[in-house]
Amino acid sequence: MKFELKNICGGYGKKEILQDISLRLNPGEIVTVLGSNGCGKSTLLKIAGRLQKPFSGTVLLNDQDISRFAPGELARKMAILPQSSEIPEGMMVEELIALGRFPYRESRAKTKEMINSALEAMEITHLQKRIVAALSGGERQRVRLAMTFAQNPEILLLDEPTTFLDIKCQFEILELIRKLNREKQISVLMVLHDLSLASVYSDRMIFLKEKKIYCSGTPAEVMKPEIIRDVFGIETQIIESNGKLLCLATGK
Amino acid sequence: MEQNTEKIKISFFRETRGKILFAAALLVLLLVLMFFSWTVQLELPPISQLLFPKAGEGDGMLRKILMQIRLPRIILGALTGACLAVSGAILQGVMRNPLASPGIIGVSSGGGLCGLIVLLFFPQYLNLQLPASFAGAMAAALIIYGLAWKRGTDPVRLVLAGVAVSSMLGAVSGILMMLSAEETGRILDFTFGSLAAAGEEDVFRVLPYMIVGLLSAFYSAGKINVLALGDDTATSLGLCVERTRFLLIITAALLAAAAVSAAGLIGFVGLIAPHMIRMISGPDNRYLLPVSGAFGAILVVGCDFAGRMIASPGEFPVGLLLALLGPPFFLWLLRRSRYEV
Repeated sequence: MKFELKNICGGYGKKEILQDISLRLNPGEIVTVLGSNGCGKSTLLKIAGRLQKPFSGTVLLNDQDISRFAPGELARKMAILPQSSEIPEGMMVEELIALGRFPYRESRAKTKEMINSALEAMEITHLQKRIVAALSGGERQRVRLAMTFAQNPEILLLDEPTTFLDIKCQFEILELIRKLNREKQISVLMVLHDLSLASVYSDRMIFLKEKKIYCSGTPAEVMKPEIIRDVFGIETQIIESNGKLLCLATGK
Repeated sequence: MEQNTEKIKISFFRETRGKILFAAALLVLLLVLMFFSWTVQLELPPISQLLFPKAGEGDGMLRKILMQIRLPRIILGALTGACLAVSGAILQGVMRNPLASPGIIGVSSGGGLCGLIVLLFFPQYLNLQLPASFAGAMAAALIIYGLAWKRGTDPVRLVLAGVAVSSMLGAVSGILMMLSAEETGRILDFTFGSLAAAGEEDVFRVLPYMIVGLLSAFYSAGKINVLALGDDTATSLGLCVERTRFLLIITAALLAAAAVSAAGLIGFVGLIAPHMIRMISGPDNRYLLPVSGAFGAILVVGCDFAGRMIASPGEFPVGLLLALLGPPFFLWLLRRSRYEV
């Protein structure tokens, strides 16, 4: 599985917020896109997931332009978790996860099996019959992730999967994402705000600034105060702890 | 981890067995109601005699009442109720708005206005009232869809455009009614919704639209479930959002148009029937659509029946009784359920 963005320009209406972006997601990789608010991270993710058309440029999946895929065909290869989604009142966890099987035509038994494996993978089997809207934020995010997992994708696009979650749940969700990535070989392209979390959980990080990719590389290559100063306009200290690079903001 | 047992307990009617039982119970209730409404206040000869009357035997008048007056009325009532309820369920799902219904988004008022125009200005072509209401309802749906379009549609814009158009069309209908006070009786029947004038030919005229509408609605029910998650999530699950939304709105309009043209402006069923079923059995549209259809049929047949009983030998229009009796039942259910919209 190869996934590549080539010379993407895009934005909203006529306003261009992404200019000539090219990036590549290698099989089995977790890549995180970072940048200040409004820099086009989410737009980039939407274009990558065909939720939005680019002004120009192409998104290639296995060297094929994704705009040529049939909708269902793409949905069987790629799943997207938007920042928020509407969850109908009264919907049960297993009902929501079952919708992840919408792109597939299959027997009820097969759907049931996929629901169960998604519940297990997300460690939420005990929530199966609960009402989604009544769950805590962390539980709900696991359920949403379980739905995308039930889609059985090769590529997972996540838009700020840890927003609205407390610190413990943020780690739990990212642990689960990494587990999916390592155990099921799902490649992940995600947007995060938290530099430390991104650094801990990503194979590669990409910084966006002024419509373009400012720099990209492994956490060790890009977690540097001068880069973060250029991208976010803040002073930071980078701390090493157990081989992980963490970022401590010290203000302007 | 502390677990709230109250929340974990899922109502019996959410389980597969409960759902099947509930649907079956509704169907039986509908059939019983239809049968009573059909035969009430008549002294029936044995059924064999009714079905196969021997020459010179049997009561011609009785047969006429049963087969030509009551049967079309009851069938039309059931179909109308089903169409309105299914139309409402679709619109609530597609617009992701609990207040959406054929009455509120303008489809009914478009059909109502055209029906009224025929009734008032072309009474000699009264048999055109049905196709005219139908055309009006569909036209209103398309106008609303067009007005809400701005690089794609958005559920909120759709509802707001619908409310605005609906209000205008209603006002025009109101002006027409003011100008023709002498026709009050028939206008009232039409605007409150009544099955009094239903005849055999009406059944056959709307039946094809209703069947096409209902079947395509049931077929698309799974897509409404996906659409309800929001445009982005639905797209990423491989649904063509714009196309599906358009087709569903047209289906809802078709159903509402057929209902309005058959029975006038019966309100409320389209709004409350889906909610009542949702409160009991949850939001899965594959179940919700057919079952709220059955429930809508029960409401209309039941209220038509009640309207004839209460005011006998005259009758109250079914729409009036529905609007009177529906809300208390609805509110009772609303208070009882844990349903939060």
